Amino acid sequence: MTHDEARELLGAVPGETSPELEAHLQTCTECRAYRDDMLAFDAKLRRALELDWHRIQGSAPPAGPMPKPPPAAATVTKLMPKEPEPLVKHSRPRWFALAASIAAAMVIGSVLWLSRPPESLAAEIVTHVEGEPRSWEKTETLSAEKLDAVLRKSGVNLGPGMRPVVYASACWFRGHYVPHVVVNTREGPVTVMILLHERVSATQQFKEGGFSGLLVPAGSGAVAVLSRTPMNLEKPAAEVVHALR
Amino acid sequence: MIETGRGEATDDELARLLESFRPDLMRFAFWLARDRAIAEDVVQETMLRAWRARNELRNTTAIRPWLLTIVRRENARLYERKRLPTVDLDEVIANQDIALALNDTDPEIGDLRRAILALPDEYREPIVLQVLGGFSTGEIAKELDLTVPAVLTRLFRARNKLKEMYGVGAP
Repeated sequence: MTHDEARELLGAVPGETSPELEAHLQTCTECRAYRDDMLAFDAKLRRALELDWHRIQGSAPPAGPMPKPPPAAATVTKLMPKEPEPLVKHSRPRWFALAASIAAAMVIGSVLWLSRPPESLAAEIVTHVEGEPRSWEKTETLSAEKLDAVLRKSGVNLGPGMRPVVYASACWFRGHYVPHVVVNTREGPVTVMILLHERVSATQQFKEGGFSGLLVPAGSGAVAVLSRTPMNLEKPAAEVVHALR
Repeated sequence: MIETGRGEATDDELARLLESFRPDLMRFAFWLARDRAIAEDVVQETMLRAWRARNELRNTTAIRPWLLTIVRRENARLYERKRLPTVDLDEVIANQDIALALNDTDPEIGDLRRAILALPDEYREPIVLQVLGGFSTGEIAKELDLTVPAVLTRLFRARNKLKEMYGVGAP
């Protein structure tokens, strides 16, 4: 592969990792720098494209897309006879009603939170990763001390076997500090989140927000690996799971 | 196949799932159409089409690319059918709501958004499909009825143009 061919390919698909390109990159520092530049630019491009639609949409609520069946509760209410008006005024003070409303709201909120669908884990991971676009731009290997500090804060022990980590942060995610790291692979950067408090019953693939990802069971927790371009994520995921043992 | 823990998705679950994609579709439609009202029409039509085809939808594993493809086709169809006038970019950027949405805590990102809006369709469409839609080069080629080398050229030029307009300088 020539210098120009490599540049054209990297300028079109910065995450491209064909064997010919990799062979060229090993001998060409200029093209390696160009790839890093393009990857950093792509991170900005992604962030630019993901504008906050709600700010553009104005206050008008969007029209419903489809006829939905009425909720069961509404149907039941319609069929029930109207409750008669009370003959006497409520003797309870207003603050009691207020406190009861708050308590009811908390109970409903807790029920909704606990019953959230499991597939939202992937969406939450993607949302979190999108919030740290600069993590993809790092290329220098992080010192062992910095990585240890992040792992300690998250309560995670990692044995040997991990690829060089270029970014690490202890992030607050679903009520816990979790390690959010980026490792460099031959196919491009891969984000890893070690989620000791999340359970997945089997390996799950997901594609969300332009990311490809895998959720893998790891002991009593899970490991999430994501890339911005389609690639084989099973190997880096397996390495992290192995290092956790 | 779209399934929940209790088996195949019900209509209500599918409706909620479709709604969860709305912001993503709006964003995508806006970058294609560069017009808020048209983007809303396109997404509404996409939702209706998806709902009508919900039985087919239950058997697809890749709902997001499926919806994004409908958005792109609806946008093209709308322009063709209504013979809409060319978007006046100055008007788009001068629109206060849009100007607000284009701004960002990082001023570079705001500049980049304006540069994307100014890209000609032939470059903006493939780059939006690739970066925002997550489409591969082959998928973009199929979608735009182009060859893979032609898509690669457009993507390369799109990034160069953006870097020029954005002020970073061409590589």
